[in-house]
Order: sequence, then structure tokens, then C-alpha cells
Amino acid sequence: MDLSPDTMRDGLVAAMPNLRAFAIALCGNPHTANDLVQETLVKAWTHRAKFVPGSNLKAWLFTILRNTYFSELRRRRREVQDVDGLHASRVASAPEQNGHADFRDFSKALEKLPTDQREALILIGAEGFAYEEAAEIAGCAVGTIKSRVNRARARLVEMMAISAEEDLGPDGLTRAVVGSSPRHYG
Amino acid sequence: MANNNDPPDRDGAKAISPEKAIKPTETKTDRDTMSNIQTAEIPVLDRGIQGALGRQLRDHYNQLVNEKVPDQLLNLLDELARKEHDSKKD
Repeated sequence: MDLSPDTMRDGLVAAMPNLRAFAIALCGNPHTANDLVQETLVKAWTHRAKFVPGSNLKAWLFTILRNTYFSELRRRRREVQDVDGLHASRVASAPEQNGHADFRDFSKALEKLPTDQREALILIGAEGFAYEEAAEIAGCAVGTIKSRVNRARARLVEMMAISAEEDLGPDGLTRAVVGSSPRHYG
Repeated sequence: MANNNDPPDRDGAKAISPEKAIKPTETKTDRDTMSNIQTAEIPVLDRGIQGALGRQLRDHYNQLVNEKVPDQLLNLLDELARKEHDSKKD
């Protein structure tokens, strides 16, 4: 039996803040994220008969959102292949490729993670999905999710530790990583 | 075999990624972390570090969750319901 339109509507409204946060974390851009959420909502509404009542609506919506995002990403990558040579020089000289000064900020470090690792880390560490649920959302094995999360954590710690070494103002995490006490400036 | 100076007691050195290899300095933490990754389910990080990392992640993410959802998205559901309603009437 289908979910009533009102129940689906309430579920979509309730999930919106999290869908949007997940979208921003994936694509790193609030405007693109809003478009992504919009597309997700339209798909979910149009195909709501496919939702199994009693199953996890948030997981279903997250699956739609990430599939939409990754297929769009693949499409764009195919499209830009022709102008790749043109972009390459600019990308290579972008400031974020130099040094580690960008990693003073947790969100910057998060952005530097490969998308599949960032996705896994958000699903497990921020959204609190079970490993099995996250694996279903991302369409991969549970072991793959676990290893992506482990790699993401290790990489983040590495990046934060590097910024601490370069005296970019230690915070709770970097202090824990480098094992030093807070510095007092001035 | 005989000319290998390193004792073969760690998988980490062999399985090191190219990304790692070009890194100028390798700290003890890096190396420990890397070798743990090879052995999947063992917790990679010290509990204190992992806790601090988790808090930063949740703080960052909760800020995003708490942002105001744009009206454009909230209104979308009403539009969808109205369109559907209208098309059924026709």
C-alpha cells in the first residue's frame, strides 16, 4: 500500500534540512546543493509509489540524492573531457595545490577528501546511519564503507596535523593529534 | 631478498600509496595509521583523536543542517501537489 500524499509530504519536509546538508557536503556549493535537493524532492514525489512504507524514508531520499549527484558528476566529466587540456594548466596553478595553509579549517580539510570517502564519513559519522544502511545508500559493500570511513579519518587527521605543524592555530583536534598543549600567542 | 635492509615486519612500507611516497616527511602517526588501514576493521585512530574528529565533523555538519531551508524548496512540495491535483481534475 502506498504512503498517503500527506505522509510523504511531511516526511519530505522533515528530511529537507538533512538532505540539504548532505548535498552541500557532497558538492561543496549551496546553490548546486539546492538544485540537487530540488531534483531529489521531485523524483521522490513522482516515484513515491516505489517507497516501501515502514522502511527508512531518510535512507531512501539520501539514496536518490547521491545517485542524482554522482550520475550528474559522471555526465559533466564526460562533457568536459574535450576542454580538459585547457583547464589543466589553470587547475595546476590553483593556490589550493600549494602547501597546507588551507587546512586550518575543518571544512576545508573535509572538502579535500575524495568524494566517496567524504560521503561515507558523513553518512556514518554525521548522519549516524548504520554501516549496512550506508552501504545500501552508496551501493557498495559494508567493508567498502568501513574502509572509506577509516581512510577518510586518517586523511583528515593527517591534514589537520600538518596544519598544526605549520602553526596555523591549534584547536581541539590538532592539539589531540600533535599531542601538544595549547599555544599562547602574544 | 638478502639485500633488503628493512625487516619485513610491516605491510605498510610495501603497500604505501604513491601519494604517500611523495610526501616529504612521514611522522610516526602517519605510518601507524597507514599500516592499520591495511588491516580493515581495527580502529585506525586513538580514541581521543577519533572523538575529537567526530565532534568537529558533527559540529560542522549540524551547522549545515541548522541553516534555513530556502523557501523555493519548501514551496516546491505545494507546487508538486497542486500540479498533481490539477492534472487529475482535467
